[in-house]
Amino acid sequence: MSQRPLALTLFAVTALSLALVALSAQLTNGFTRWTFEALRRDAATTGRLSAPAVPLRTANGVTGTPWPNDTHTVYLVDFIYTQCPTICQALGGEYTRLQRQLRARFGAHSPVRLVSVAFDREHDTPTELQAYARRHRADDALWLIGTPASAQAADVLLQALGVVAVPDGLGGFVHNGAIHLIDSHGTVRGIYDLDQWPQALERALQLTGTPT
Amino acid sequence: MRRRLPWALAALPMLLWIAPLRHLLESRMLPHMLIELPLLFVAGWALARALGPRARLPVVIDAHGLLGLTWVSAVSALWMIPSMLDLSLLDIRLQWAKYLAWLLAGVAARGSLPRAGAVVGVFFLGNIAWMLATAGLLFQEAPQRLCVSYLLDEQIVTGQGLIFFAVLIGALAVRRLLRPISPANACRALPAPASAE
Repeated sequence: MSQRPLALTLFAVTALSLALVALSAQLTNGFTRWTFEALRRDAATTGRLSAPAVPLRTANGVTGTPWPNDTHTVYLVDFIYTQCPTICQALGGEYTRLQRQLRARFGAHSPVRLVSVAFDREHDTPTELQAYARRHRADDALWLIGTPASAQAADVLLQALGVVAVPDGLGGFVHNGAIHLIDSHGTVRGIYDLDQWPQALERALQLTGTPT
Repeated sequence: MRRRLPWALAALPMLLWIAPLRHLLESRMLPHMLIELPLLFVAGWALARALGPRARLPVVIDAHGLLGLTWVSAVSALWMIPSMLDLSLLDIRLQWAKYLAWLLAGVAARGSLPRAGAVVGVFFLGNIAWMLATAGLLFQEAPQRLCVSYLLDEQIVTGQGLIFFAVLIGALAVRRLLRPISPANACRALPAPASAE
């Protein structure tokens, strides 16, 4: 075989390989993030994840997400469904502890607030939201519990944040059980695992300018 | 009938326009990775077969099938990355890029594999088999969900399926290595006479 076709082939193969390596590097943040959740958390720490404002239906009627506003309040946001027997109850328990700490320190005027978004719109009725709030001793002044007021609002919010709920085949869901730290502009400033709630609180207080 | 079959297989991806069918294939990890992606590949292969020489890369940039087989390897590797599966479900651009990439991988394989000699063919097939096996083992061993869109038990079963595909492709590689090279095959590995200076 003459050398020319092989040289052109090798040139084409090299160009294709380089292009694909560059694409892979782009898609994995420099070959460091291989899962969607890791990419999502990276996006949060660099301020590239935003929570849109959507209407929420609570036990007391329809309101909106508390963001955006000009109060410099920071929100610790989790995603739950009220029928959940496992992680959501654990999240509820940690939120109860968070609420206790916030109330002890700031009373009803806390610069950090709690928000639980219930995504199972069919079952997360106002009655069930009320029961969830009662079960976890939620204080309306500190902790907002609501479900997106429409299917479209739910899609918009969950897709923007990359929160995915997968039916578990038993009538429930498997979903991201993380705490999202969202500022008053709706920008996600960090995502923390359930057991990292003290770190989430510390970071939230830092963002509000409150000494920790 | 034999002439129509490749066209029928090539038309299979059109079914992905039907949203419920697409959802059925993609809502679980196993059919997504082990049925949809291989079917797209087979459809591409069939399309190349139906189109004949027109669907082949110019031999001047695909000596020994290197360019086409590089594409096949790269597409296989890229779609073993867990985030790519999630992103293809959440971003419509990546979803259609996935369909196109796998279809073109089938087209490229059909055009380039016959150009490859035993060593080049086995190198690429072996690489893909090794990669699938590695991904399969990782999918089975990972203690957590690698994809937010799928459950952990689906991930384990998909990992086993990937190992099965790895063994299958490995067997094809061995078969290719043991196959005697006919003069016709040897000629096809060479570039066209016009480009041989």
